[in-house]
Amino acid sequence: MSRDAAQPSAAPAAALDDACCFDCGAACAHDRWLCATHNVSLCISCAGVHRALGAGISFVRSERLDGCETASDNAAFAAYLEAHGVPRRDWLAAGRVSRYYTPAADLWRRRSDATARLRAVEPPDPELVKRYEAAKAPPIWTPDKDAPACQLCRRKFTTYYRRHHCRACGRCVCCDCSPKVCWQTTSRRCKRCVPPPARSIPGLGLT
Amino acid sequence: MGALFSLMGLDGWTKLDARLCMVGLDAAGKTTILYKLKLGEVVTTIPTIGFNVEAIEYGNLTLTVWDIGGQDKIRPLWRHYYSDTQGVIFVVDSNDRDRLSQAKDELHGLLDQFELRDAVVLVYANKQDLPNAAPAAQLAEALQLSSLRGRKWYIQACCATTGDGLYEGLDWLKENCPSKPAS
Repeated sequence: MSRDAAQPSAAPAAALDDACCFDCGAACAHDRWLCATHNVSLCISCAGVHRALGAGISFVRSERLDGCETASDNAAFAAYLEAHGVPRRDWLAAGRVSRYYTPAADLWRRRSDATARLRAVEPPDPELVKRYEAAKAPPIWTPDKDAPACQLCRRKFTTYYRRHHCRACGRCVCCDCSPKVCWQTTSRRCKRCVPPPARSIPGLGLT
Repeated sequence: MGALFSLMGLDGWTKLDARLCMVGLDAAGKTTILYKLKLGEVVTTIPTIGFNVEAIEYGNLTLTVWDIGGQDKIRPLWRHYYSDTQGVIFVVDSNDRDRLSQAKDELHGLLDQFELRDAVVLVYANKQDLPNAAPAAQLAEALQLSSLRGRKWYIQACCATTGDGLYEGLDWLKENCPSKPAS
């Protein structure tokens, strides 16, 4: 099993409780480990993954076996990630290692380091930026001849029913599968890459 | 017998045993090193609570390596493993500069123990692959290894995940560890 494999989360909502592991959502109140860098609580197996990241990325302490003075606050880190464009769902979908290399997590570390050392926030590590940019490498463009039909709805392309390419995943799709609302603002995206906007539920005030 | 064998060039034929303790601060990479030496592969570890023990064959030498957990509150338990130990492998995380002084205190504290008076010390400066890792010379200074009087010590830069430097450390142990013929 790859170490970076994303763990299916049992209960993402419950994971914001400090009695649950922030990374996998397992209950860990009986044997809690803390990532002192990000102030989140972890189960022992996620603590193992964190230790492999290196002490500079995640400094792991045990509640029982170490003298640790920090307390975890899962909700605060989740709120920070949400505010920096990484919703909980995306965080859980990213690999267990690569999620800690996101620009948002990196900024958190640089900020807390700057606070601890009473210095200004340092610019991001160029090595890390390079890694992140490499992860966002351009998609593999499906050649026109390999796509006689739309790769999402399977409708055949004709002279008048034209091919389009999704700039995010490289799929060759039809105009119906890359709706205008997606590509007019930025670049063309298919339905798969831009999910329809979340429904608002009247009466709850939630979207 | 040993002298006769070495005269005859049969050194490599005698089986030798040595018992070693591998200690160090938590998350230094002790368990990863142990299983890299034993299995030749990188295992996904979890924090060691208690110990792991493996017999590692290296040439004619069989090393029984005890890898003991290094969390703050279980470090006082290390001393229960010291009796009949010929050598100590002390693992340091070269990338964790903030805790080098803590590592120094632990190392000197354990070498003050009576049972380890004849033990040799191999220091593995682990995680050399990480950016900003302290080089071995700098670590030797931070750990004040030169102040160890009358003790054989050696510092070896290594990287447990790639295996670089691990066998160089074992080579030194093979030359310097007071091993005894296998029973």
